[in-house]
Amino acid sequence: MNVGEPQRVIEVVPLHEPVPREPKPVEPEKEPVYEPEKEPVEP
Amino acid sequence: MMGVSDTYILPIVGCRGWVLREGKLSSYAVDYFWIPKKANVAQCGGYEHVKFWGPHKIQSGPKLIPHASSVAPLAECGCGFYAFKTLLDLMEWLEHREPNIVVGEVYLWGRIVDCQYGYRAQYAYPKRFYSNSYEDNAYNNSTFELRDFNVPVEPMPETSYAT
Repeated sequence: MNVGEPQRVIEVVPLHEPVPREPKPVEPEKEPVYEPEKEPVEP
Repeated sequence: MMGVSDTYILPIVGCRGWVLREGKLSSYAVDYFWIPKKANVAQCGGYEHVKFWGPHKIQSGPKLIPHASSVAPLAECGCGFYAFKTLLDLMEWLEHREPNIVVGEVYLWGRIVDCQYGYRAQYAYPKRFYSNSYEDNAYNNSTFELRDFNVPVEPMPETSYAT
């Protein structure tokens, strides 16, 4: 590709890189564990 | 050495062509496979470190001079990721090339050498591919490989060049 003679040099510093990222894996919600209430133990 | 004249915060968008080699997206003349989902980084160490594909020889390729890869692209060298400024310029370039070229837009950022008809950049990533590229058949066989880049595949806009 012939893009011709250089005219100037610039610096581009984007706030966000224009690269699509892999979506972060979403952890499945943990089901609440049922714990039966313990009956008080009489001394 | 040409110094940096301006700084921008939005990536430059250019137009360029790729080819598919070994089932991967590759630069046209230089032995470089584009990496999906990562910024592609230009490197140059002169002719000793650049491999040209097939009929693309040093004589017909870009002029390269030895320099540290950390400063790629250098204005005085011919290194960096290439792109034209307009689709029209790209279409003119395609006229003299083989038909299996994938066409699209590309984001460019980092250090950029702004040239008469295009750019040479330090970082690059495809912005979109055109579904009705120069040769439809070649393109349709390649869409699977292009999907890895996770960018849109869209019909090519009309240019005054197209008749």
